[in-house]
Amino acid sequence: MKRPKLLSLGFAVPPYSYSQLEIFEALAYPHHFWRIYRDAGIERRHFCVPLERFRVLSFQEQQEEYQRSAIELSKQAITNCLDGRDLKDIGCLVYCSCSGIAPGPTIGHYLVKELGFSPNTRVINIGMQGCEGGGYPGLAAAADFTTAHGKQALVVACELTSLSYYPEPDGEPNPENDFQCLRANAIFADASSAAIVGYDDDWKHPYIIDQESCTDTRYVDDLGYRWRDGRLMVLLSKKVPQIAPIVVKSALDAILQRQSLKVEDIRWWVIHAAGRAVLRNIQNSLGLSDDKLSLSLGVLRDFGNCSSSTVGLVGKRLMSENIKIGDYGVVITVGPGITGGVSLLCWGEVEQV
Amino acid sequence: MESILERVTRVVVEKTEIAREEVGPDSHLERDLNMDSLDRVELLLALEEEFRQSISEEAEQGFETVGQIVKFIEGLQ
Repeated sequence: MKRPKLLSLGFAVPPYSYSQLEIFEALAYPHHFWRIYRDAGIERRHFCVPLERFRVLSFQEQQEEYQRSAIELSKQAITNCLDGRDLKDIGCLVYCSCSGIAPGPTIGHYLVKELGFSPNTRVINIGMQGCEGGGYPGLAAAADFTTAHGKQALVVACELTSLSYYPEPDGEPNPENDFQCLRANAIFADASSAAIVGYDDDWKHPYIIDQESCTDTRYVDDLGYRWRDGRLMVLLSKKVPQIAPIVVKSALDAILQRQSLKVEDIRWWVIHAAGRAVLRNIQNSLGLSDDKLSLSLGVLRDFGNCSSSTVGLVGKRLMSENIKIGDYGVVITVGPGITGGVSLLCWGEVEQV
Repeated sequence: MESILERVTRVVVEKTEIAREEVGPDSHLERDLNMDSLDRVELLLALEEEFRQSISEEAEQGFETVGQIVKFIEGLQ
């Protein structure tokens, strides 16, 4: 059995771009909360609607905008990922998103129609799995499809977190759960990323060697969304930076043991840019040097936390690095559950299983 | 009467729920006391109330340890 490979990555961000100060001022929070925005390690974020609009949209308007923008942004990310490849070679489209709700027909069906995928394309929708959607279950579904059917699979993650904004009155942030809305509004942003999984002979396209996840359900109510007043309201406990390294390490240790590898054998780290505290705690938990986090911190700085799209942005930057034959890399996601997902990559010749 | 160090330590302990004996002048707010930016906002507001003094954003940015907070407040007295 041949191992599947990651053939290509692409991403797209929406047109409205703002500094942290512009966002903070538009949200009209009391000044003393500025530190949270200033120290988030983020310079700019992109949104699919202008700041002055996203605070006033009704739930219905949010979902209508989601439908429009998710199709458009996903198309851009897919086009960038295809980079001249033939869409007809894609046998499966996996669409992942947690920030909006598109009842069937799904966004995936519209992408098949508007981009002209083969009518035989299998469409899979992975919804509401938070920041891990595209990076772990999405990539795993694509890898499983390729392994089982020998055809290429395309996974696209599209997150429009600005359209899950939960309204708060000027100057009166909801203190619930340690100001979870205020903290979420300090980091989340919009983006779409896409990846093609398949087979080829180019050593620069890494094999997907192994995948593993770990969910600690004791913290199931600490991360995600919940319904409130007919809207989505973010659920972001302050425990997340403490729990994330534990589930990530458990999943990673299982892979390292199976593959007879050590942490020091992993040269490239594509870690979900969830936030500074999550990244720092994962770094400390695994004993990583600062340079291992540079790709994730760079994406956090330039784009913020784009939920499940984020690892695609980090991975795209990795492809420009000085990768050598024999290098190992990992893709790490964190999402609701609380779940840590890890995919092991290897560049070059790999023994088949 | 409580010293400034004792008062700052009391406020830090209240905000972090870390044992009193584990907080000292050399305690680093982020590394040792695991304070995130929201914790620091809450600490700042509590210190302003405790000492009836306004603490500027510029000054607050320089606080890395409990001892640096104490030194700053001593300078205000």
